[in-house]
Amino acid sequence: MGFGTEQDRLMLDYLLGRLTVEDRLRVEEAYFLDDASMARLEFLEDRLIDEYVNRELSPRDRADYESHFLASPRRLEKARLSQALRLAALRDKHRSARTSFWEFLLRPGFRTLALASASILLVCGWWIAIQSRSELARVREALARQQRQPEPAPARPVAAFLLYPGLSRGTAATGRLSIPRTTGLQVRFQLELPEAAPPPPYVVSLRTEDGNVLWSGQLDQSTAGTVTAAIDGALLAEGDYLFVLETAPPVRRLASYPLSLLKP
Amino acid sequence: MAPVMSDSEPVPPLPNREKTPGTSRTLDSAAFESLLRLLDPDRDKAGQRYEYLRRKLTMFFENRLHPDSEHLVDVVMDRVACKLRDGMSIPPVDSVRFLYGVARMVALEEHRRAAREQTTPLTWEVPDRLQPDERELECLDRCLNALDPATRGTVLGYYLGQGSAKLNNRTGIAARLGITHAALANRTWRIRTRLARCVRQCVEQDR
Repeated sequence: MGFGTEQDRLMLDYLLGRLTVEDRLRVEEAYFLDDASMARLEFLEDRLIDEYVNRELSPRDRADYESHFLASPRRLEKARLSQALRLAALRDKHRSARTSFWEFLLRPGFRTLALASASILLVCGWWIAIQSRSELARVREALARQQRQPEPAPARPVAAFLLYPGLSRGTAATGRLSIPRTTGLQVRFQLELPEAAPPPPYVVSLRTEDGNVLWSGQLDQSTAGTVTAAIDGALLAEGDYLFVLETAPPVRRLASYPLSLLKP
Repeated sequence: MAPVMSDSEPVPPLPNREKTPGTSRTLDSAAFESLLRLLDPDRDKAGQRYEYLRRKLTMFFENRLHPDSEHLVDVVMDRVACKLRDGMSIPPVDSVRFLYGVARMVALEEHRRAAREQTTPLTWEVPDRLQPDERELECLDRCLNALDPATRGTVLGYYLGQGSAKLNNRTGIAARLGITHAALANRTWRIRTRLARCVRQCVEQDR
């Protein structure tokens, strides 16, 4: 606790019970006869309480404070009130901060800003949607082109589907995939790799609704961000399935592709 | 309901004590009136002076570690009042010095009595007793709400922050109010005194 004058130091020592009898009488006489001294002493008393409550007293002052100063019930009450006021001040500050935040949000300026931001987001969203749609069209076109190209000596009929992580789409863009009941049919599932996928090899498994692995294989190559799993059509019955794409050991799941198969 | 708070100190009523232990005199209204007249011819001012002198006496006994300072303050006031009633003439200019002399005498008597009776010194546990309880906090809220917003803001602002942040904060409040640090401390002291009284009344009212 810092003090400007020798008199302040003397008064502090008085409050903390450190004075000799002579000095104590000197301080007592001073504040009894001089109201300004009393005012100063009360001010220092308050400051002492204040700094005690704020844990700003030196260890020595703190020890003397607790052993001498707090012996008085009145001072104890003052210290409790100071503590309570400190808590109230903190609470009030937090409350005001919350209120200011809401007031800020409701300000006409902020409302305009929020409206402008929302408009920008809307435009960006629309642009992204357009871009995604054209990308999808490009992929479909590429797939269709692939399908139009003559298969090198196709030994058996093939049905192909493009699957996206988390969803499935057939070449006919339906939610459910229809495969013909053709004998010897090979079904090719082209799985789009997720964005953060590491380079091949991958392990792909096709699981039934109840979790049994119907088919699995290691795929060592990817093409245009996709890998292809070719499965014998005879293995596939109508029902719900899940393709799981994982890294080769150590195994880490990268994506899953749910799908429903129909065999009309 | 929050207790009503007033800025002015009321004239103190006659203390409710038939006979004060430690004196051989009985305090009555005549003695009390004599004391007030000594302190100031104006009754209101005398009342304020009486309260102020009680504060000085409380400070005195507290610093001498007397366990029941309030009681000893009563003893001093009663003793001076009875002397006045019984015809002792004390020049107003010497009234405070006289009071101080009586206070020292009472302190000495109390010291001797304690030594004779081997009174156990006060013991206290600091940390627990410093924490205000829920009731006190509720009452403080009520009392703060009874203040006008500017006064409330001043006192709460005064208690905000620690270390240099607290000092800066107080400097800001003093500058805003156009007063010195010392004046701000005094103003806060007065507000806190009112709050202390209000909280005490509120807590007692709800008991």
